[in-house]
Amino acid sequence: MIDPLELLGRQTPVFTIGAETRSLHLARIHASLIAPVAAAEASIFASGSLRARFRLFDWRPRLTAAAVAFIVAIPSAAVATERTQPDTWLYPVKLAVEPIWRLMDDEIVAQHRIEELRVALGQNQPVETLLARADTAVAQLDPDSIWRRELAAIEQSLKDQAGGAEAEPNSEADAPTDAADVDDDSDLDSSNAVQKKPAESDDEPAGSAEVTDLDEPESDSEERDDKSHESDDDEADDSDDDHESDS
Amino acid sequence: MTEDLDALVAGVVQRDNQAFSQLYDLLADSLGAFAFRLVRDRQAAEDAVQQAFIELANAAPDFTGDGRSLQAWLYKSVRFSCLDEFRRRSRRPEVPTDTLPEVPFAGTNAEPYAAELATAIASLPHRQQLLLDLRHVHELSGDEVAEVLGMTRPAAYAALSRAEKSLRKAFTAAVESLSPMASLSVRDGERT
Repeated sequence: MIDPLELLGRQTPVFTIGAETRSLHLARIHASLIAPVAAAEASIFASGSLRARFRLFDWRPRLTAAAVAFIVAIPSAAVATERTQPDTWLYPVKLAVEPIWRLMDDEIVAQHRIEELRVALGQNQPVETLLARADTAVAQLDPDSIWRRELAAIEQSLKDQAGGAEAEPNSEADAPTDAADVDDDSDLDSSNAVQKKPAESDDEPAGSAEVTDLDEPESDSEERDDKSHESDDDEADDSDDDHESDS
Repeated sequence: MTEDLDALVAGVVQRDNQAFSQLYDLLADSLGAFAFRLVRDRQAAEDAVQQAFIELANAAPDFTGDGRSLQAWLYKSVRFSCLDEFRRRSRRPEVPTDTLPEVPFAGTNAEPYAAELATAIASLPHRQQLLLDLRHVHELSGDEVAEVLGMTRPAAYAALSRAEKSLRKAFTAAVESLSPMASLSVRDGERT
């Protein structure tokens, strides 16, 4: 007559929550009834709650997300700002990221300054400030650094340009303005010619191929025809000679 | 008990302190026993019970249902709290599982065949223990068991049926091994 399920049904849970725990639980439950969010947050800092202690570790995913964002953002900013010039709004970001780049490459700052200097020179912008910055950046490098030589080369070219600019006004003064115009025209013509040449050469391949393909065989055939005619003439001459000799 | 729960639902929905206190007194021990069966840690079980009531306090205004569904809601919440605890433990194992205490199943040694029943239940898989516990000790219906354990109704009923068959078989084996003379009466009881 014994059914284990009946026996089981007669059992009662042996688990009993103590009076102290009960009062603590009820206090927190009542607090959550008054201010649900505040009570939930308060329970996070309750020392007796494992669940609450578990919630304390919610900072971990946040910290991980922040770390990932940092790791992604810094190289992105570095790449995005690598070619920015001092007059652009991203330039401060470039300067801010440079110390981090510098951890990996000592010469990156000098490289950036010299590249900025080159771009400014290419755009005919004033370079005094950039030159000073480049000098400062290069001064921190080894004496045999490639960037020292690069900067020296740029400075030398600037000096040469300055010397040439001093010499040029005399020659321009000597030369008549019409001649200068003529020279300019000739330069333009020559530049046009230079520009045209590639265009012609671009057109050439197809046209030339057609021409050579068509002309050469014709010339060959003409040559052959000429030769054949010549030979015919020779033969005719020979035959005439023969006739003459016969006669 | 069902009538008591039904009477408390209105107060719970209105977030009445008194209703929550009565509900806690009515269900906290059962919920604690259920949580203890899941996590095998007294502190964690108590925390799960507290968390379930706090979540109920937050969700009470939106609750629609009777006393039985309120009870099932709390069991379900406890189960989720325990699952959170499992996840936390899996990340930072604190206690080796082989040193966990045995689950003190309901009952006392004064009850006849209590030892055999405990042995039989201990020999069952944990899932079946949980099903039997919810159905026969906590007296949840099959539908409520399905809801608490996140199963479909047919799956829950089929699992319950298998668990009951397994318990009967294990109980007979336990009686035979622990008290051979009594096994005859158990077999007779099964036949009748």
